[in-house]
Amino acid sequence: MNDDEDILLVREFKDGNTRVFDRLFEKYQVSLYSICYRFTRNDSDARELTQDILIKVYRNLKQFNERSRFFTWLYRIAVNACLSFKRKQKHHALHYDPPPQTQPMDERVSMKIAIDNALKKLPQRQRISFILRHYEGYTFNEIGEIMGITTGAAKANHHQAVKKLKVLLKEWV
Amino acid sequence: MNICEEFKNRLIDYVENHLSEQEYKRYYEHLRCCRQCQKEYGEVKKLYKILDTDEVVLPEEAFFDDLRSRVRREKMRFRSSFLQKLMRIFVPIFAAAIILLILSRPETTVEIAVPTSALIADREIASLSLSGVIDEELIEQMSIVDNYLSFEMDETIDELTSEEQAVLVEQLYEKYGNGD
Repeated sequence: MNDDEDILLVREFKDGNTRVFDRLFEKYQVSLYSICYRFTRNDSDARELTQDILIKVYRNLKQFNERSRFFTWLYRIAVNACLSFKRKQKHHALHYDPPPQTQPMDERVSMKIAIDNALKKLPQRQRISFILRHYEGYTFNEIGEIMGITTGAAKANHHQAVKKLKVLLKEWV
Repeated sequence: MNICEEFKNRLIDYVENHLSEQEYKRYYEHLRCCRQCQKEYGEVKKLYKILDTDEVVLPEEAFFDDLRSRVRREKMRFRSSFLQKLMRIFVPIFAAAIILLILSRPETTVEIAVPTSALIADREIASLSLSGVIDEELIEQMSIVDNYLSFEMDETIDELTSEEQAVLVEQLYEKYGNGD
């Protein structure tokens, strides 16, 4: 299903056939969850965030004015939800110390933890740019549209993220 | 800027293959003979390889099914909240209209010793021509209110014989009219 098909579904939705939302839901559910997971690094937060985003998309779908591509509009809602979700989390943040390790960890597990920690340490906008570029494969132009920034700024965010990750994961590189 | 610094600045583009063919060839040639840049290049390549191992474990299918039904429930809640907004607008208007109807009744109107809500509930009143019992204008206005509230008209009244209708009128008169 390409963007033209998305637009047709949105038009049908606006005409009152709200059932077509299920098709958009099915198309984007995995991608939205993946972005949320990679951003929060936490399954429960990612589930909550995915739900918030899809409800927000449903509520605002009639306001989609076709001035941008549908996925750009959709991911902009997702990115804004991610950024505000983290702010909400920070507000209620509790200090957490991981339990001491009694056994040596499997290398893959410790690498995953290292990646988790490294990605969490990236500034939010760099993290989003990196996720959209590296894992979702969007161009810098598309990332710029999604984030409401220039193509150059999207590229700069991504490059900064890679440089920081290289330092943060230096033990593994 | 020497070529090593230049390469360092373009390293990510090189790894991600965002260079023109000419640029790519230039850095490729440089890379073959510069150990320092080879090291930098190797580190970024390895970093990407490590980051590629980061797989997302998707939730079970039931999560998405449940989520879809939650969004559907949200659809219904959203619709009902829209209806609630409409009700918030129209209910005071109806109430005001009914009060105005009562206050503006002509002198000749028969007193009705029942609450307005009961009168509206008895929709037969609006559909029957109770000439001389209840004011014609009131009946007409009640019918308008009745239609506006989208009550279904009780067609059984029409099916009654004239004698049965007369009995019904008498009963209604006894029930609602005070006999003035």
